[in-house]
Parts: sequence; structure tokens; C-alpha cells
Amino acid sequence: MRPFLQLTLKEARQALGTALVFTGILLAALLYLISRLGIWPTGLVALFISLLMGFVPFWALWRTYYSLRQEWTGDHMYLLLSLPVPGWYITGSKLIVALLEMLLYTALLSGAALVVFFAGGGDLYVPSSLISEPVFIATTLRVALLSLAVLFIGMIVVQFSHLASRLVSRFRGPLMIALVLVSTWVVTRGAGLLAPILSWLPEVPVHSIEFHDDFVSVATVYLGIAPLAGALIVSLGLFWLGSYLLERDVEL
Amino acid sequence: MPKGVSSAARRTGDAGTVGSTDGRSLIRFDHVSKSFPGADALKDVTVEIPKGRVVGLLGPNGSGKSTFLKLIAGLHRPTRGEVFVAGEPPGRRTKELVAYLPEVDHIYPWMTVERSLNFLSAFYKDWDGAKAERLLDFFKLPRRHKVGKLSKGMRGKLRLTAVLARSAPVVLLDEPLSGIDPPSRVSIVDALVREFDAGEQTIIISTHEVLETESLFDSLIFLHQGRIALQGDVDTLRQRYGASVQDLFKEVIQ
Repeated sequence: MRPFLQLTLKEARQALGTALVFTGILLAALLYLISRLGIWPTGLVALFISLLMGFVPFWALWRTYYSLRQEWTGDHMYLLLSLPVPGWYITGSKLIVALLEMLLYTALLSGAALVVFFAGGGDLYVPSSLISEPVFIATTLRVALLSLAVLFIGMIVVQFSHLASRLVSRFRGPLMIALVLVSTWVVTRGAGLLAPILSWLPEVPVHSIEFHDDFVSVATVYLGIAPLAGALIVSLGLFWLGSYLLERDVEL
Repeated sequence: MPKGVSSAARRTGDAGTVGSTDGRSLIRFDHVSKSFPGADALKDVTVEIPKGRVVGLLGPNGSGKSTFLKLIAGLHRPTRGEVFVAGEPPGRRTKELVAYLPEVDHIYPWMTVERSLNFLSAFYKDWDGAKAERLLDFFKLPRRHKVGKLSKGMRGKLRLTAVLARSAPVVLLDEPLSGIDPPSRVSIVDALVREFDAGEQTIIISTHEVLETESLFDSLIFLHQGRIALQGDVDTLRQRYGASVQDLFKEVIQ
């Protein structure tokens, strides 16, 4: 596994600069927002944090695309494709590093969300009689993990589409967009077909907090993860196919 | 292609073989064609290259030299025909046997010289750390400098170090002297002579710099418009045409 480790370390080092800058910006924004607690309405602070959360998926997809693209623009694909390693070493190391980067951002954002809910008080105060702290933290973790799983599927779709578009020498951009759409359809269709087979998977309880004019209510929603597991299986198939194309069919 | 050369090459009847193979051809092209949209890079190329040769791959720009090397390195697939390296189609296993130096700067500019070689050493069983150190000293490459900060000539030497530090049976050098100043060219050719393992290695060098490299070659393949215009042992070709490799090259590209 030394080659895979070397590739992963190389990816981490390549991503480090951008990740540090992005982490710095994110931390500064979150610290500023947290410092506004008690000054701004807590709901407004929570809204801004949600907006930052909404940015992470787009960043993740861009990072996945860019980490491959820069290998071509810098001619480093000559080096990578000359190595006697399976294609998945190259694609897998890129995905792992991108996923770890997104894990870091998700942890920062989830932490900030918890701080707002527990320290914010005011209009977002949730009585402890309705939901205990451990349950609330567990829900946050579950939502974060499910979001990361969805993000992971999106990253695989982008990676596969980029690699498959490299099989042609012209119109790669439009082809990649078309492939993203087609492979997203394949993943959702496959997820739908596999879901009944995976229905034995346990449901995940998630607590939904609803703020009304004069009271707060907490509802427990049980999420069936069979479709998500099905989508993960299909996207792993796309990951294998993309890695195969990179190793066997992509030309320089 | 000059008429005299082409008809003579066909007359010799040895088209398809570079040197004596004795049934031990290390690289074999069997009616290989490679097409790109709007261009045929190689057309029906059949050739066998035995073990232990230094082969000059000569031809004008666009004659198919880089494509020829990329097919062996497994970075291109033939449109028609088959390529074999040690009896196998190019793939993951043959990449262990092939050390390929591309024409482009493929090493990461943010790595230091030392780090880049350490990185590469993790992938090859035939990596010789002592040889890499020797080459770094020979080329006077600063170990702690970032690759991106090196001059073009230094980067060329580093790429060559990365290839020659391996004891690979097949070494492919695509324009190793391109854009490099004359003194550095001499040191690169010296390194090739020093590090070549005549019994075990086969080197294919694609180049325009015939004058500097002529002395290295055992055999030659002249490519012209995607076809083999002339091939054979250097001594045989010299005797047959009464011309130096440089003159033959000029004649072929004209």
C-alpha cells in the first residue's frame, strides 16, 4: 500500500494551500457570526451559517473536478499514467483527500451550528425538556454524515464524468455536463431499483426542530437509508468504471 | 522521403527488424496504425526491437515519434494492429518494465528535487537509490530546491535522473535534449553512456539532435509521415548508403 499512501500524501500536499485558505476564511466567518450572538437575532446568525453550509457542496464538486483537471493542465498525468498502479489508486487518493477536506468543513460548520443552538438562546432557544443535548448532538452528527454521503456520491459523479469526457478530444465541456446529468439519472434510477433489496437497513432517527410564533416543537423523523445506500452502491460502480477508463482508455 | 533511400530500404528485405532479434524481441509493433481526429500519426508500422539495443528514433516534427513511444509506454492505444512489450500488450504490468521520459515537464513543480525522487521511488521495484544519488551529484542538481525553481536544463536533467535511476529493461526518451544548452547536452549524453546497462536494457531515443546522439545508437528507425522510411543497424546503414546518420537523417526529412 506504499504507492497508494504516497499518492494520498501527494494529493493532501497539493490540496493543502487551497484548503488552508478556505479553512481560514470559513473560520473567520464563523467566529465573526458567533461573536454576533446576542447582538444580531440568533435566527439571522443561524441563517448565515446555513448559507455557508450551502456553499460546501459546490466547493466539493469543484475541488473534485479541479484536482483531476490540474493533472492535465500541468502535464502531470504523464507521470501518473506511467506509474504501474491500478487506476483506482489515482482516483481513490483524490476522492479520499477531497472527502477529508469536506469532513473538516462540515465539522467546523456543524460545530458552529451547535454553538449557536446551545449558546444562542433568544429566539432559537430549545427547552431541554424537549430535546436533550446528547440527542441533539447525535442528530447533528447523523445529518452531517448523511450529507457527506450525498456529497460523496456527487463527487464520484463529477469525477467519473470528467474522466469519461477525456475519451474524446473535442467538446469535452458539453460532454462532461451531459455525462453529469446522465450519471446522476443512473445513480437515482439505480438507487430506486436497489432500495427494496436494501430495505432491511435500519432507519435513522433525526429530530426536526420547528420554531413557531410562541412555542417550539420537536418531531422525530425516521429516514430510510436504503435509497441512499443504493445510490452509494451505484456510484461505487461509477467510481470503478472511471478508474478503469483512466487506467485503460484515457490517452495523453 | 528520397527515392534512393526508400527503394533501397525496401530492397534490403529487413524492414520490420531493428538489429538481430534471435527470437528475443522485447518490443514488437504488428501492423500498428494510430489515428487522431484529422490526422494519422502512424500508418501500418511493423517493427521488432530486440533486447540490449540503443535505438535512435529519428524523423521530422509530426512524423509519429512521440506517438510511437507513447504506444510502448501504454499512454496511447493502437487504432489498428498490436503492440507488445515483453510479449504483453502495454498495461499496468509492462509499466513496471518501461521507464518513460516524456517531452513535457511532468514532475510536480512544488516538490523539491529530493522529494520528487523519493515520491517516484515508492512505485518502482527496480528503483536504485544509489544510482539516483550518483546522478544527482553528476548533474549537480540541488536536492532541496523546488522543481519549479529550476532552469529548463536542470528540469531536463532531473527528469532524466528519474528515468535512469531505474534499472528498467526498456527506457524511452522523448527528445531528451530538446531546449537544453550544448554543455548540458554533453552531460546528458555522458550520463546515458555511463548508466546504460548494455546487457539488460533497451533504450529508444527520439531526437532531432542527431549529431550529439549519433555515437550512442546501435540501430535506427527513421519515421516519415507516420511510416517507417528506413531502419536497421547503424553500421549496416552507413555502409549501405555511404553516408553518416546525420546525412541520412537530412535525406529522409527532405
